This record gives sequence, structure tokens and C-alpha cells, in this order.
Amino acid sequence: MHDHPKPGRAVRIGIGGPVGCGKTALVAALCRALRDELSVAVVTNDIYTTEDADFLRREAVLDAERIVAVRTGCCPHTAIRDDVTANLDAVEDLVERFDPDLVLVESGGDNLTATFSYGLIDRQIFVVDTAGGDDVPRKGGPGVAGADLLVINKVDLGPLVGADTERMAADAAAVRDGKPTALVSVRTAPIPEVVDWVRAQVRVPA
Amino acid sequence: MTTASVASARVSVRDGRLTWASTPPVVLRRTGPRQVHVIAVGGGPLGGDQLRLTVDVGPGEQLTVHSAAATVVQPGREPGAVASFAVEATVAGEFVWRPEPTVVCDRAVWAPSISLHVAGGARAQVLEQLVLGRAGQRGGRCSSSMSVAVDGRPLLATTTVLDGADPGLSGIGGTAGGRSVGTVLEVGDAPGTEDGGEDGDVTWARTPLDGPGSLLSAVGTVRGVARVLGANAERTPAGVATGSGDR
Amino acid sequence: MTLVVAPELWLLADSRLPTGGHAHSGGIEAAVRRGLVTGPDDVAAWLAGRVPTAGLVTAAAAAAACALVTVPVERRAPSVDLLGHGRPSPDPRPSPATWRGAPTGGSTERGGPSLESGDGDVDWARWDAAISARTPVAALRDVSRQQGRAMLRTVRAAWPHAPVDGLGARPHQALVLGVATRAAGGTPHDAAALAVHHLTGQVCSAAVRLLGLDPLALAGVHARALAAHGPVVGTAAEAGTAAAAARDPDLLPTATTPWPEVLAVLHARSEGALFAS
Repeated sequence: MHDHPKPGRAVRIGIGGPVGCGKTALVAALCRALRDELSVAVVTNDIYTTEDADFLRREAVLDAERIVAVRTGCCPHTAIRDDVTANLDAVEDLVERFDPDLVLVESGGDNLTATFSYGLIDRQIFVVDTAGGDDVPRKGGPGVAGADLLVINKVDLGPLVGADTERMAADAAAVRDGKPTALVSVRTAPIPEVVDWVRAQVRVPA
Repeated sequence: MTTASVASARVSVRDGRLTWASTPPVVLRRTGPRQVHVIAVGGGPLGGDQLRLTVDVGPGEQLTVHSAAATVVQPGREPGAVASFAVEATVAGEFVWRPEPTVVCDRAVWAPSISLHVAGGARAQVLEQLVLGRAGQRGGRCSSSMSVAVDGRPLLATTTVLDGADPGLSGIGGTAGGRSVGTVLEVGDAPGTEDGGEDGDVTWARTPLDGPGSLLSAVGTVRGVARVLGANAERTPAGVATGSGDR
Repeated sequence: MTLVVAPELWLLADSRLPTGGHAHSGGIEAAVRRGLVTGPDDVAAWLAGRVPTAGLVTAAAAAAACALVTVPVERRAPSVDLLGHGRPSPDPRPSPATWRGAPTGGSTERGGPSLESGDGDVDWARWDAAISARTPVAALRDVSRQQGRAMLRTVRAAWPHAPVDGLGARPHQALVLGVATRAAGGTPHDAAALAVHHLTGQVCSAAVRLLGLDPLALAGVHARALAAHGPVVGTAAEAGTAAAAARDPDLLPTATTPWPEVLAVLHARSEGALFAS
């Protein structure tokens, strides 16, 4: 579907998933884990406000000017898939200004069909969470099935919401054709497997 | 019944000397060392009138032009006849154009224009208020043009189109029912900051132009617009910063 | 006479063409947020104020840009009318070589109206500055340049021969639209019509998304606005063509209405806006 990222060019990783699944927390965790070894920049696609960008700036995960917010005109999925103009502008501006190794593009929260165009990003992570229902991976859909990395978040909440995380992992494996899935709890535990995966995308040989 | 007038006036400040010439219905009176007032005589303007004021402000000179009273534009004998007032100023020093409000009566057609040729480093301020109609009127038609070039480069070229009797122009895509529109143009300063506000009487905003200057626009009631213009009439201190483009 | 529309022009009219337009509301979001738009009639009212004024200016600039890169019609195809409709099929588009100003005979006087006009002849900076002067609101200049940059990207992908190199990295959208229209085989009149169509479409589409209005009702508003404002397109095409022929951007129209301009500044300064403009 797409080539490996070209050397000498920022690797762009899209992070999508439904509202409340933990996309912004994942972005923050990745920035904290990678900012000392990589030059990182972030584009957020907030639906209503610049809240996600503001959160990331407040948390000081990166220098404030490395985080930009894009307005999507009520259509978060359009902005990452059908007409990626505003995001491309934002990414290109960041690349021009900082020449980063990695640009994370966080989508606005949307439904399970909202995936990124590979005209905008090189790799995409799709995030779901146990609280959103443990049948989500079984239902599949472009996000769960097609993402280069599936992150199942909030596994710590699994027992509390009656979600069978093992079943979620097995269902995901069944539709993901060998692509990796990570079970994590972004807010409460380190996420070395996700960090390593991102690092590997950036360090891919020419 | 008055017939349409064609009249020109001119005023110049150069080498420390203020000179002026005018003929009715546009008469100039000196009211200060560096100040003249335009005094409209005979009522009007009326549809069909073509009035002109030429201003020349030499290097290092300063000139302020006021008007003595509000201008009330009446329709002429010919329906739809346009009344025009063209101000053309060449500014190498500092020029302030601050007339009293202009009222455009029902069925009148008013086409004022102000054209400023400003030398680099020179300054100009234009402060104008238009009112659509007298009390109880919707107001006539007005197309008010402003064109500014600084050192020959265009800074502003805009024509504000108003018509109290046109639903499109008096609706939300025009003045949103506002009876008055005000403008403060500053040329020669740094582009300045964006600013704005709104209350029950007036909605206004200031925006930097693509070059050395800014434009404030206000829409609302006569009183609300007058208040915003009054609050923004004072010149900012002479700019030390230079303008920059937005490319 | 049979009217022939170059097929590629439909692409430029399609809101699905990825040029970033979906993130803009044509200014109406600010009016919606103030409770001034509640139904389709209000959307029509917004357009009635904006299309003949600010819309006219943009449309004329697009028409001028199209005319500036158009080979004089009477030389290329003597049987064609000045608006270029009724061009002979199958391919009415000049070859890339013709675009670049390859001589076709006749006057070569530099800058004269009969000059063969490839992009190398156009002083785009003057036209760009003229549009900036006609766009007092800084936020709207920025939006115009954002959309110009985006359309440039699209044009380079869709019409690689289009003479856009002289336009710079962030030209005003109207200029890119005009050049793209020519590249797609269109005329200055087409460019003006596209500009009005896109303004109208952005406003209608945003109203549907912001207020949940009936999209069918808004399709009606869109259609009626295009019909009602047809004369605006004609005026814009004439003014733009005349300005291009005279090589004088000062001849472009300058109309605007005050309330939407004020709102545009307030919108850019506001929190929580869904649309970029």
C-alpha cells in the first residue's frame, strides 16, 4: 500500500480512534518517551477547540511551538482522509521549521471507520479502549483491521467494565493479518512496546 | 430648486505655508495653524453633485481637515443621480481627515472616495462615520471607496457598499441592520495588533493591513459607532516600527 | 451554437477535490454563533450581501488570472467567441508549449494587451498585492493564502503543465483558481463562476454542518444563489478580463460589506470555532 518512510524526511505517524480512547494521553506518553532521542512535533485535530493542543502544551511534553492545532470544520474524518490539506499544511510547516524526525498527527475522535490517508502519514496507530466495549475488535472495521499498530488502552479498567481483554486481543489478531497489537494502560503504566514500535518506524533502513 | 454642483477645493501645506482655494458649495476655512474646516454651504450635497478636494501635505508638514457640521446627502431631482465627493491627498508629512458624520437620506446615492498617496515614513489618519437615513428612514445607497498606496505600493483598495433599501446589503451579509458604519484608517504606523469587541450597540474590529497601517471598522447604532470611533480617534504614538507584509 | 464545457472543469467545481475548502464556512460560522442564522433564508441573505461584493472581487481576480495565462482567443481559434464557449473539440486546451508563451505570431510588444501571455510575462506579485489591498482583514488574507497554497498542491498533481511557478508558495487562492481554470480548459468566465460557486458552496455546506439544516433545502439555496448571482459572474468576468488585458490590477473591483468583515476578525480571535474562517 505504501513505501517505507524515506530517509532524511520526517516520519509521520497518525494516531486515530474513537473519542475518549486515550489518543492525547498516548501522544503525550510518546513525546515524553522519545523527545530526548528524537526531534518530535505534533499536529492535533480537535473537533471543537484547541483543547488537545492546549493540554499537550500545558503538560509541556514538547516546546509549545512544536504543537499545532488544525480546525476541521466539523469533519474530523475528512481532514485526515479525504481532504488532508489543513493537516498537510501543518505538517509541512513543522517540517520546514524544525526538521523533525517524527511528526505525530492526532486525529479528532471519530468512529471506527475513520482512518488516515497515506497521502498524509506514513504509518498509523489506531487506539481503542476496554471501556468502549470488548466487542470492538471483533467488529473490525478499517481502523481496527488496517492500522499498522492497534493499541488497546485502559486494560487496567477491563475488570471494572466487564471487558475481556484476552478476547479483545484474540479478536484483533484474527482480523489484523499479523500486524501488531499492544495492550496498554497509558495513564498508569509505561508503554515500552508502543515506544519501541514507533522508534522502529523512524529508524527504518533506507 | 438647486441644480447639481461641480466644485473643487484644494489645500496645501508646503514649506511652512498653508494655502487653500475653494468655491461654493464646498468652502474651506482656516481654523488653526495646521487645520482647515470644510463648510458646506447651500445644503446638500444633492444627487448629481460632483465635489472634489485635493490635499497636498509636504515633507515634515502636518494638516488636519475637519468638517463644520454633519453632511446630509439628499436625493437629486433625477432619481438615482449620484452625489460624489472625491478626496485626493498626496501626503509626505502627516494628514488627518476627520469629518463629521455623513447621513445618507432615503433615495440618495452617495459615492464618496478617498485616495491617499503616502510617501514612505509619512502618516495619515482617516476617521469617518456614515449613517443610513435620518430618524425613521432606512437610508439610501452608499459606496464609499478608500484607496491607499504607500510609496506606490497598494496598501488598501476597498469600497464599502451600503443600501438601507436593499435587503441583501442591510441584512446579515451587509450591515445586519446596523444604521451606522464607522472607519478608522491609520497609515504609516506599524500594522498594529488585531483587536475587536461587541456589545448591544456596536460590533467593531481592527485589523492590520498588508503593510504599514491598520483599519478599524465598526457597525451598529449611530451612538455605538460614534463611541468606538471616539475611543480610537487618538493617534497612537508615532510608529518607530516599520510595517511588514504577510506573505 | 453548442456550448462545450471542458470536462476537467467539473473537477474544479467538485467540493470533493482536496483543496481544504471543507474547513472554511465562508464567514457564516461567526453569524451562526451569534444566533443570526437559523434557517435556509438566512443563508440566502448572507449570500445576497456577500456574493455581489466580496464574492465579486474574488471572482474578478480569478477571471483576471485566467485571462492572464490565456492565449488571445482570436489568434488561437478565430471562430470562437470571446468567452471561449463553443471551442472546437476534442481538446480545447493549448499545449504546454503554447502556455509558456511560445510565439504564435503577431505583436510581441512587452506588456501590451495583444501580447502572447505565458506565465513568464505575468508580474504576479502586483496582482497578489492588489488582492491583499482588497482584503483588509488580515485573517482573511491568511485564509486566502492557505487555500491558495492548498489549491497549488492540487493543481500541480492534476495539471502538471499549469503555469503556476511564478505564483510563489502562498499565493491568493483566486489567482491559483484562475490559472487552474485555464489549465483545465476553462475561460475567465468559468473562473469567475467557480469562485462564486465555491463561496456559495462553503457557506451552504457549513450551515448544514453547524445547524443541522436540511441539506436538500440548502441545495436549493445554493442553486438559487447561483442563478440569482449569474450577473455577478458576468460582471466579474468582464472586469477581470479587462484588468488582465490592460495588465492593470488596479482595475479589479473593490466592493465589500462591513458586518461580515468585522465578524471575520472576531471569528479569528474567538475560541472554539469549528471552521478556520
